[in-house]
Amino acid sequence: MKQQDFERKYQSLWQTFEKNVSQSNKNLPNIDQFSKNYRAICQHLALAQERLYNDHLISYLNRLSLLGHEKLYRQSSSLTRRIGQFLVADFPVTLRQEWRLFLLASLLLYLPMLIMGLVIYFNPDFAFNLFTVEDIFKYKDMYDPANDRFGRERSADSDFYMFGFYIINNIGIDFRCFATGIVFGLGSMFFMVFNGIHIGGIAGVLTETGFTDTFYSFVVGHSSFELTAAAISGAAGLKMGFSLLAPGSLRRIDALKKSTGIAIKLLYGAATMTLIAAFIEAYWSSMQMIPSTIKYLVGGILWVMVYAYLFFGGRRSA
Amino acid sequence: MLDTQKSIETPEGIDLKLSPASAVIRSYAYFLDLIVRGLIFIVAAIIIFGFSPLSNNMNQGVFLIFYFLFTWFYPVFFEVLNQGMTPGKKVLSIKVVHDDGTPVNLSNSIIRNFLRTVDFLPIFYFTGIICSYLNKDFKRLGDLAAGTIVVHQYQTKLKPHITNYEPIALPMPLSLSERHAITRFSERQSSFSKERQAELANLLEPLHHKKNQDAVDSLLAIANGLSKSL
Repeated sequence: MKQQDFERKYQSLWQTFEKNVSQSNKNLPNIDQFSKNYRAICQHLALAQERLYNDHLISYLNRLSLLGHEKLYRQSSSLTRRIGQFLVADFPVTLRQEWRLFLLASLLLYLPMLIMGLVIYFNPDFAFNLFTVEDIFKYKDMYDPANDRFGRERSADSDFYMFGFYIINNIGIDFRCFATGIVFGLGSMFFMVFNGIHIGGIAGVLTETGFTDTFYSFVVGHSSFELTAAAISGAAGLKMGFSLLAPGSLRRIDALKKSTGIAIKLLYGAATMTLIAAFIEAYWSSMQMIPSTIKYLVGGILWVMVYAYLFFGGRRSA
Repeated sequence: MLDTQKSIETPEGIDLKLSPASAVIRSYAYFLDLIVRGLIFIVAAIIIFGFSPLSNNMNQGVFLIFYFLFTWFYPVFFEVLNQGMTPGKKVLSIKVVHDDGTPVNLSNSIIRNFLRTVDFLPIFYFTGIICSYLNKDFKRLGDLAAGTIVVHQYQTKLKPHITNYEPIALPMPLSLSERHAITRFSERQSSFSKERQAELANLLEPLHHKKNQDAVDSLLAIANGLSKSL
């Protein structure tokens, strides 16, 4: 068949198809008709290529097929339906599958934290290697029991402001822990150790000064979610980076894609946990009228809850 | 065919062609997006601090949350809701798709955009640009991890055929690729100089037994005859 006859014969089909595809964004009015036409156009493209019809026709049909292809094979992204299922089951299940990386990230976070805390507790001058003198005074001032407000500088009505601040700061850290992991896991490792040293250092300074009650009763509540989430986002970065080092039977690029798909799930969970932590930190940890005994109690319960959730969540459905 | 084209095979057994977009055009899109971001940022700040009835601390909190979402999710928002196109990409007719040509979904958009953190290092997307020239699909690290690709979006139309030459039949049988060469000549001849047209047409003297402009004319007539029924 000559090209012009070919065009004349099918032009109306192509035009209708183009109109339908570009018209309705989400739902196609007549799915049977659509897929039939789509297959026809795919065949026309194959014919046009085979018969070496001119480039305009081929690229026109290529575009039509591409539009149809996009419509037909769109990957489902209906989010809201899956959020619940994800938090109840998928996230803890995924984390348990990656428990080795979670353990490694946790160790990279908590060991330097513990060591630095002890070093500064027994050798207070070491703190000057980590912080400036102003920083040390600032931290001490924040948690000084003599102050009527403690736990970072704040005034009574600034809870929401601090909520925003914790979100931007802490979730941002999660995202960076994850993203920099693509460099063979090095970035995530760095952030784990760095944050561990930083937090351990502050804890060491305040413990050594004797502001233990104000400091630990402040952090015990939200730290359950926040530190665990930091370790999880570190694990996510390691998952991504290690796939490049040890791709197994896959090509490196495929191993990277596959493991990033898993890592992003961990990051979703970590970000959600950090959001909860920000909320607790802004609205619960900062309440000074609550006796520290209650704060330790609630904090302890939260720690148990977090690990119980990660350990038992989704076992039934899995 | 251009060597930057990427073929994807669909379940229908056809090859679709995608044209990956290079770092140059993508950086134009990025700068346009920077401008758009700046404008949105200013407008949001004016609305939040100028017209909100809440207390100043509340406003600052709202602004921080907005700023957080804005810095991390601006490209994600547009890529997911606007067929893979941020405003800058839309102006330059490029868009983000998966490796198989389907529109980018939420997770992969988040992956490719969060990894900008690394692609940006040490400064001005140095890592990302180097990376994009080390693979044939111009992918930066974020694209590699997410399995996405930024492609050109061409507007194509059916082009009218040459009409002002009386179509004539082929004087002798020709192979498919030879006929294709003649058709291609008829499509592209207007972009050549007269002398070049004649030079090319003269090569086919055994076919039409003519010289120079006459040769060009008869070649076009033959091309017309190839695409039309006689």
